[in-house]
Amino acid sequence: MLPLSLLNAAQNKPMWSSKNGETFNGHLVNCDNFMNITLREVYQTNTDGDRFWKLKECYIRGSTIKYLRVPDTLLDAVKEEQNRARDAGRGARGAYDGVHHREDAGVAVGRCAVAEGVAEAPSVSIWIC
Amino acid sequence: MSSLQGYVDRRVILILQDGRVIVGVMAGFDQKSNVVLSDSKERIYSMDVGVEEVPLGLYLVKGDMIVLIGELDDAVDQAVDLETIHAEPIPAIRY
Repeated sequence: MLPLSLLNAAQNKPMWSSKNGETFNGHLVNCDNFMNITLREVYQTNTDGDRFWKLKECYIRGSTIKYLRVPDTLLDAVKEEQNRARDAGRGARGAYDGVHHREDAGVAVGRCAVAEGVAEAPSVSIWIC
Repeated sequence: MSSLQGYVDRRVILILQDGRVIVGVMAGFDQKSNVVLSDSKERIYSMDVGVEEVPLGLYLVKGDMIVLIGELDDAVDQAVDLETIHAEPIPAIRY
């Protein structure tokens, strides 16, 4: 399972992120292939963990991220969706190229998992260096 | 070309640039060596008390941060009583 497909699936879910040991906990709004992300309703914590700020929205450059913590429930959701996408790809592909179908399926993974909503909004956290 | 494929679904140990040690089951990776760990725990070493394990759950580690990935021998690992291990923590990389 690709790390970025997991992250795509985490959209609209709360998450934690970190920068200089600072952490940002919030709901993932969007992310791209560089792992640049935007978060909403963010709680920022300083390196020592003794000061907190609340931000309406923030953008974090992917290169500054150290770790992301994502809800456990997402793993099963993404795996399931990938299996489904693969099976669908097999059926539709026929004698033609498999590549494009598979890429389509990859995009679908993120969207479907968001649409279905995994249990109650779990969290993703990001550490940034 | 070296690949992490052989580690997928195995229990692995990660050592990171900031000196942290994380064990977990490798759920996936990509071309940049970003790694997804499921059921992960951080192992915090100290000289004063035994090894402390902090559960982190599903965890995505940026490839930039990773220094080392190794496969864990589950049998050997479980035979070790972490409570009795006292060790200096690994310092962060200095540039």
